[in-house]
Amino acid sequence: MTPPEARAAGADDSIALDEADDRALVDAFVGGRREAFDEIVRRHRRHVYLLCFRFVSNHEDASDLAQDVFVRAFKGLGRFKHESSLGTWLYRITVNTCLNRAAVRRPETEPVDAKEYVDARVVSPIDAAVRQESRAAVRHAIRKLPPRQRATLILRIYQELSHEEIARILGGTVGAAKTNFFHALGNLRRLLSA
Amino acid sequence: MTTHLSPDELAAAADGTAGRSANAHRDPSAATAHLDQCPACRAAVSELTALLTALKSETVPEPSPLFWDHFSARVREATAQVTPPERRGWMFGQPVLALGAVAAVALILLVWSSSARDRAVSAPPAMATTATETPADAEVAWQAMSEMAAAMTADDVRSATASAPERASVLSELSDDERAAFVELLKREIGEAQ
Repeated sequence: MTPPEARAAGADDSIALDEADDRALVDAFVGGRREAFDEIVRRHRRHVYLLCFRFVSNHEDASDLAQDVFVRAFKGLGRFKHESSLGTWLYRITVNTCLNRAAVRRPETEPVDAKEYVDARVVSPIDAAVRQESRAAVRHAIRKLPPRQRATLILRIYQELSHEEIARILGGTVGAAKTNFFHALGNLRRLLSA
Repeated sequence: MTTHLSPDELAAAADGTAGRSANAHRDPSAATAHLDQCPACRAAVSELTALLTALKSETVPEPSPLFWDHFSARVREATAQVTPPERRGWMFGQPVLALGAVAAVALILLVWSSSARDRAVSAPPAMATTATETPADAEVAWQAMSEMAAAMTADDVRSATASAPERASVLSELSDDERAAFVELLKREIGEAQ
């Protein structure tokens, strides 16, 4: 889009991008200011990355997935109609990207960089090992959940979204989101006690 | 004692969201009253609560602060070859122009279909074919017919009209002068028609 077209489309070159709200950033980007997308990435990259990490439990895949999410967002932002917040829209893309990738996920290994640093002066080595093992078991169990249950659990517990928001993101009813949540908890309980 | 808590009610009680949903199966206070009286449901809620606590304590290791700038650069590089989106599609971005274009296309289609219908009703297929000829084409055709008529002999006429015996017999009865006069007459007719 050429600058005159961008101005005609409503781009306001005068707004300071780092002070603009998400809506203004989207309008600026769609109006031709490509650098507005850099600000969107800067603002949302951490949440998107952390959500990806919840799905894949390793840094390398999480960063690749997060990058895919923003590339998809870049392509689709022209169709974003502000019917939800930009954050919710990005969550939806993130969940879909992660669920699509789930079909071709890697062998489930615990990467070195996912292990938590434990201060041996505060926690005994045995307690640290138990804690480490317990967390690895939780991650492993979450990865074994069916995709929609996993997505529901992650969005509810780690992103603290309401069932209504989860239903909007995953595309379903509130009742289905609640049922998925309960089944996810039930399956986790079974997996962890096995 | 009332019926046991449903799976959704158990999850909601453990999650601390009981009573927030508009489509709960029963009055939340009734569910709470049942929970006070039912050791089995209390045990189930307690187990789910412990599980949720364990899940919530599962943290994601934060990447290095240097990672984020690197990540933004990766996204910028990945989107560099992608064409930025235009504002919500041409239909919504330029409503007046879009409506004008649609109206113009509709008008052209209307005129075209009307004129095609008129041609189909008023002109037989042969006329429709000659309608594509130019004036220059017609002049060449008349000239050729005129030359052919001047060069015709009685035998030519007889063989050409073999399938029309009555007219052939009339032409064969003409003398040379009469035939020459007939050809002149034909030439004059052709000349007037041109």
